[in-house]
Amino acid sequence: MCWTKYLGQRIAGELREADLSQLSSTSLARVLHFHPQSTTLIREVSVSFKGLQILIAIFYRLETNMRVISTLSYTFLLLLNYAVPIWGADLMLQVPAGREECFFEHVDFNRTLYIDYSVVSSNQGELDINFQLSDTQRRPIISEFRKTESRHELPIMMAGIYKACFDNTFSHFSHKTVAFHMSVDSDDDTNWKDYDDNFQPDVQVYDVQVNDIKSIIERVRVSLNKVQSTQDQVRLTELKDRGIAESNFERVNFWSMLYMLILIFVGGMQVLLLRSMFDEKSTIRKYMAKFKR
Amino acid sequence: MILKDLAWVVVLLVTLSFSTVTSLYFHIAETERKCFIEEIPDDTTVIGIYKVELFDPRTNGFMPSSPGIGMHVEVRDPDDKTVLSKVYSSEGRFTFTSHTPGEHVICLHSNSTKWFAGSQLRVHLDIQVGEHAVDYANVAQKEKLTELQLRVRQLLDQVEQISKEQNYQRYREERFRQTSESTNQRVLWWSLIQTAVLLLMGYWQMRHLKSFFEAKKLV
Repeated sequence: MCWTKYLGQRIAGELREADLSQLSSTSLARVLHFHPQSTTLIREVSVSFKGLQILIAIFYRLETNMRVISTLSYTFLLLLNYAVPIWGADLMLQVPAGREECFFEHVDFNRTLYIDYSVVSSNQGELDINFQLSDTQRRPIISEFRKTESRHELPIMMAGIYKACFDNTFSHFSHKTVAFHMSVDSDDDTNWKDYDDNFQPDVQVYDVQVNDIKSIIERVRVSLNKVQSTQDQVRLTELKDRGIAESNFERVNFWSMLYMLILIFVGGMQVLLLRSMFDEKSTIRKYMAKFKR
Repeated sequence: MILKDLAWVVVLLVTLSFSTVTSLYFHIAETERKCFIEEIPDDTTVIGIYKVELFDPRTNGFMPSSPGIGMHVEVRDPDDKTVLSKVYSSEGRFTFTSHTPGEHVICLHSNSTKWFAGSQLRVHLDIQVGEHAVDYANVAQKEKLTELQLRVRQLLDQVEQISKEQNYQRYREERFRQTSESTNQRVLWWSLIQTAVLLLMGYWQMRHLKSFFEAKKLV
């Protein structure tokens, strides 16, 4: 129980100062090391935080009033272990020029396959890639030509192995970095299964409250998941933008340098040529004469 | 009591051995190397669970278990320092914790010593980052948590991960802005320098040609 005590101590100060119901959402945010400036995220989470505060407060009081220790049933553990295999993956990899990278996923009948991908960087040229998804018979279901990003949601009518390919064979020099996510029933929160029947009731007397708290936690979880997925999206966009900014930086340097060198070269050449036109002994003139012949 | 604990361990072991790796897989040649990039904040745990199957020409399929085939896992941090470099068996899991935020490259290749790509390998891979990498079944068992306690713990871990990610985002945004500002500065300075060079060049050309023509007695 040490961690709850720890948490309790962390917010004990807050609790002492204010009534539970008056606890402001920012105070917990502060405790949880949220930067106060990050208002957008806070705003999104604050609704859920309200619930979490109350929950933690009640929880802390339960903790101190009585020992709520109950052993876990073995069935729960069994179930939890089967919950470990996770559907889907968030991967990012480089697809070299002229190559094709394929991934396979087994999908059961009556499930939904979620795929999204985004080309986040490329050492030169456009941010695009060909994408193809083939079904169990290797027939293409989705074919996309030179797209930067895309998102699909497919109801699966045929169980089997689906193949997703990122094809960069059309480019000769540019390596593309692709971030993609492929999952089956992605709204299925795998780390958060319904264990209701497998736990011993926390405290019989507080049954109603416990159920309340459970539903609050559930809501917090849903919001946090949303926050995380938004964060992931923002991260990818940011990654892409940073790539563009960095290539702009290099482009500006390279081309400016080149222009300056051309400027100096042309300037020098102009003078030399002009001189050679009026100079009998000029070497360039001799060369030019030779060239004419 | 001890018996009970033993039973726990047995149940845990049995169930663990049944749990399978993810259904996502890809193919690599025996000598090929496959790399994945994970962009993560610092102090974040990453777990990779993998399974390798060797192509069997006799059955025209993949052998579910392939003894002798090992997997070399190499992880490099953003400064290109090796975080992890180890040979594992054909099935297993690797874990590492990031110390510097940024792009970590995870490379997998088989420990085959052949010179030419012989047969094909099928690799099942699942990479879990942050609080997804925590095995809460284990946590609940070790600390004897009730459902509520476990839930709150999960939420706390998740919030912590979000705030870590946000800190990292702030850091990246700062670098992003620095690059943009530097580009902006350079555009300005380059154009000023180019103008200056152009003017100097023109001036030098005039002077030089004037003195040249005078020397040649053309003017």
